[in-house]
Amino acid sequence: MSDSVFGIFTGGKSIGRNKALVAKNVSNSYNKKKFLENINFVVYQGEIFSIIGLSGSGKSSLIKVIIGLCPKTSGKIFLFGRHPFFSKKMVGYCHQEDSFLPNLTLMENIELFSSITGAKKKSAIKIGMDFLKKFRLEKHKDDYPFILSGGQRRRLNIVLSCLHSPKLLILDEPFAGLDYYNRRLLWDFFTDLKNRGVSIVLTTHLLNEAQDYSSRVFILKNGKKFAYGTFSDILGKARFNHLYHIRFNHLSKSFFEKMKSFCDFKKIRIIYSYKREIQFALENLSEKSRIDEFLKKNGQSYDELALAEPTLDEFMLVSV
Amino acid sequence: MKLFEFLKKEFLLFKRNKKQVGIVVALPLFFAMIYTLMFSFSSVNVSISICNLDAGEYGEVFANHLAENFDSKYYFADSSEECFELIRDDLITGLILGLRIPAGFSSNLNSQKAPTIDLFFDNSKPNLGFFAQSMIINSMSSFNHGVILSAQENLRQNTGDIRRDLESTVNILDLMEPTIPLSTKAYFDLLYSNVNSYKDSISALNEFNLEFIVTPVNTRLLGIFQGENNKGFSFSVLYIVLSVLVLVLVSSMSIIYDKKNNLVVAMRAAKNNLFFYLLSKILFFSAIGFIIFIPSFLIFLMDNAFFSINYFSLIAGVLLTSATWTLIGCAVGLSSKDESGGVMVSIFIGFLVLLLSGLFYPVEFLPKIIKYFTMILPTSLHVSLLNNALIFNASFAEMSLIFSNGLIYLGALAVLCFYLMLKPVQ
Repeated sequence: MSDSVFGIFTGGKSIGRNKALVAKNVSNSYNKKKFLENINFVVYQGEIFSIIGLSGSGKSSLIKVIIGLCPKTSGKIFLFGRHPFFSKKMVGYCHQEDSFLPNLTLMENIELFSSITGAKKKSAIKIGMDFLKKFRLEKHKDDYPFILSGGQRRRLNIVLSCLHSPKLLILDEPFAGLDYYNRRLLWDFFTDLKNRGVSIVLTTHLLNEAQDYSSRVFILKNGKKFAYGTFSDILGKARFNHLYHIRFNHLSKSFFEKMKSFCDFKKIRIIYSYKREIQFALENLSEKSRIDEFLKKNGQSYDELALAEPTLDEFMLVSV
Repeated sequence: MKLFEFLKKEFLLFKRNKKQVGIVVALPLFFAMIYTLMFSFSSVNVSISICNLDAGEYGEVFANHLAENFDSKYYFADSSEECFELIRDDLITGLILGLRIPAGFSSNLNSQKAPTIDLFFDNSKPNLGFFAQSMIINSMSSFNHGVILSAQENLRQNTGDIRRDLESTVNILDLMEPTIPLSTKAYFDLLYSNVNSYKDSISALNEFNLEFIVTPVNTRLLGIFQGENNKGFSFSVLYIVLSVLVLVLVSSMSIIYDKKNNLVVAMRAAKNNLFFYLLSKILFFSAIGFIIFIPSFLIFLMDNAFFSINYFSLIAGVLLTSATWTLIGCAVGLSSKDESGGVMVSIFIGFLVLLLSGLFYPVEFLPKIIKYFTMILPTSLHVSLLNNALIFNASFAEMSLIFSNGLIYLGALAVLCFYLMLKPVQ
C-alpha cells in the first residue's frame, strides 16, 4: 500500500514510512488532571529512542497512550504511517511488570503469547527458542517462571513481546531493578534488534546508559516536553557546559551561605553539595576563575576533584 | 487457533490448581447429597431425653411411643431439671431435644382435660425449635388418635347405656299410657315426648365422631405439576445455586489471575484477542458447568427424582446458565482490584442467590419488594429453562422466548465485560 492510501489516517498529510512512530500534539487527562500536554516526537525505523523523566513525569502514561491502553484526549499517533489499529502486528509491547503466567512453563507461555501477539505458532516457537538461547534461558524452557531470578524474568518478558518479530518494540522501564550484567545483556539485545532495523522505544531512569546506547531522547517534565533530540543537541542547548567539582579542607556553615550568595549574584548554579563537597554548573570557564578567585580571597583551601563536560545524568540534575 | 490456545491455557491453569479442581468436583457432590437427604426428613437421627413425671398409664405409653419414633436414641431423665441440663450442658453428644410429661398427664386425659407437654430444645441452633415441634407433632399423631379412639369408645359406652335406659323408660310409658287419667294426659304426653327426644339426642351423641371435633377439615397437598415430583423440580434450583457459587467464584478468580499477571494488558496492547479470550472463558467454564451438572444430577436420579428430558434443550439450558454466571464472574473479576475483593463479591452474589433461590425458604413468603428483586436476577429464568428441559420435555422451539430473554441477558453481560476490559488504564 502506498503512503497516499495511508493519508486518510494521517489527516491527508503524507507521513514517511521510515518513521516508525509519530506523536502529534498528544495530550491525555484523567479526572480533570492533565498527565500529558502537547507531546510531539518522531521515532525513526532502526533507532533506540529513550523517554526520560523523573518519577511521575508521565513516561508510563505516554507509553500507555501510544499502545492504546489509555485514550489520548487530543492529538494523533501514527505507527509506520498508519492508524495504530492497522499496525498492531508490527508493534511489540513489554510491560513494566511481569506479564507471563507463573503457572505455565516458559514454553507454554511462548505458545500462549504467540496467539496473543498474532504470530504463527511454529515461527513464534522458533523465535522464542532463539531468544531464550540468546538470553541464556533455554535450559529453563520446561520450568515454571517462578524459579527464575528477577533479571531472567525481565528477559522472558522481552522474549514474549518479540515473538511476532515486531518492527517497533515499546518497553516500559525494562531495566528497573536489574544489575549491571542483566542491563548490559538487554542493551546488547536492543542494539542487535536496532541493527536489524527494529525501532526501540523505552523509558528509563538510567541516563548514562541511555546516552551510550540511544540515538535520541525525549525528556518529559510534568507531562510536557522538556527536551527532545540527540544527546549532543540537548546538552548543546543546556545553559551549562562544564561541571566543576571541588572538596574543601574545611567548610563552615557561614562560609557556605556566603558562597551561595556569591553564586546567586554571579548566576552560577550549585547543583550538588554534600558535607565538604560542592559541584558547580558552569556556562564557561571564566566562571571557574571567578569561583577560584572568591575562594582564594576568603582564604579557603580546597582540592579540585573534576572539571568535565556534563553527562545526561548531570543535565537532568540541573535541568529537570 | 487463538481460541484453542486460550482454552488450552484455561485447562492447564485449572488442572494445576488442585484446590480449585477439588471445589468444583466436591461441592456439587456434597450439596446434592445433603440436599437429597434433607428431603427424606426423619426423626430417627435425633436423640431425645424424656422425663416422665406421670404416675398413670398414659405417661408411660406416650414415652414408649416417642422412644419408638425417635429410634433407640432416647434417654429417660428423672426430673425436668435433669432433662434440661442433659441438653444445655451437652452431657450426651448429639442430644438436642428434651420432653417433659407432666404429673397428672394420665388423669387429665382420663378426665378429658388436655395436658401440656414441655419440649426443651437447644435454641442456640436456629430452626431447631420449628423442626423439633413439627417432629413431635408428627410422632404424636398416632398416640393422639389412640386417645381419641379410647374417648370415643368411652362416650359410646356411656351414651349406649343411657339410650338403653331411655328405651326401657319409653316402653314403660307405652304400657302406662292406657291407665293415665284424662286430667293428667297432657302432662303425660309432654313427658313421653321429652323422653323420646332425649333418646334421639343420645342416639345422635352415640354416633358422634370425636375425630371430627379435633380435625373437622382435612387437607391434602397436591402438586399441580406431576404430583409428587418435588425432587425433580428442586434439582433445577439446586443446580442454579451451585452454578452461581462455583462459576462466579472460579471465573472471577481466573480473570483476576490474568489481570494480576498483566495478560489482559498484553492482549489489549495486541488489540485483537479480547473476543476469543472472553469466548474461551465462556466455553471453558460452561464445561465446568457440565462437570457440576452431571454428578449432582446422578445423585438426584438415584434418589428417585423423576425427569423427562429433552436433551437438546437441556444442553442449551446448561450452556446458557453457565455462560451467564461465567460472564457475571468475569465482570466481578474485571471490576475487582485484587483477589480478596473478587472473592468477597463472588461470595456475596452466591449467598444472595442462595437465600433468594427458594431452596431453603420460599421467596413467595417474603415481602413484595424482595420478590420484585428476585425477578431482576437471571435465576428465575434459568430455573424455568431447566425445569422445562428436564421435567416437561420441552423443545427448544417451545422455549424460544425464555432462550431469547436469556440471550439478551447474556449479550448485556458480554457488553459490560468488554467495557470493563477496555477501560482506560491510567
